[in-house]
Amino acid sequence: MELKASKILDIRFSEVDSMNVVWHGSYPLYFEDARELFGEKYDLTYMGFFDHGYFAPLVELNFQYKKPIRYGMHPRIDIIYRPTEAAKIVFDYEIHDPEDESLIATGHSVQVFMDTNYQLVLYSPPFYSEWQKRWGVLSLENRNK
Amino acid sequence: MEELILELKQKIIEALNLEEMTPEDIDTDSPLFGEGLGLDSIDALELIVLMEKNYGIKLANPAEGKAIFKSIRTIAEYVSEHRTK
Repeated sequence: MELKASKILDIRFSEVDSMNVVWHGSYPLYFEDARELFGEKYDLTYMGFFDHGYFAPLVELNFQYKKPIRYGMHPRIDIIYRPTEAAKIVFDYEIHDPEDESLIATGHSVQVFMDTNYQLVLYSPPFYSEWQKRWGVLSLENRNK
Repeated sequence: MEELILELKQKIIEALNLEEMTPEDIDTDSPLFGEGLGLDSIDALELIVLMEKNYGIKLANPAEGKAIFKSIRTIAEYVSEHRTK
């Protein structure tokens, strides 16, 4: 099964730049909101990481801007979990305009695990492997590679 | 050993999506990280999966990783000695 969460974005006036479109630098925060929403829905939260003794920093974040977002629009962001056997958390993102379902932006992020001494964790922490098992994301038909 | 070296190069190209590279482009004795192939610690996470999936090798101590992943040859030597499949 594909794990996915969606939300409608509220565009703040302060996120709009002098071209009257949402500034490119606002998007990382939308992605972060989406990750938090995903975490709440599927029980993979930042606080959960801390409780198990890990951090999950971003090591890769990219964007493709297809269409501007204007103040007053109510775009929808979809976040999709991409299963991998490596000790990583990988998400794809899509922002659509619900008015006509046109694609506004896409993106991708990779997070790794770090212990509280700031050392990279080479194997998936047990709580994360259990989480993957619980949601069946590493079953054969769902495998990313 | 030469066969294993070629196989490792192919698997690394596949695991890291180094689509434009061929096994001939990877020098067996050059460093994989930093200079040479220019891999980083995040790439190492994919090598870890490759080692476990293909050869049944799980590194007991993450610190070993540095020495094992030094070059294709050091990986091949470690694999031939420790593989369980």
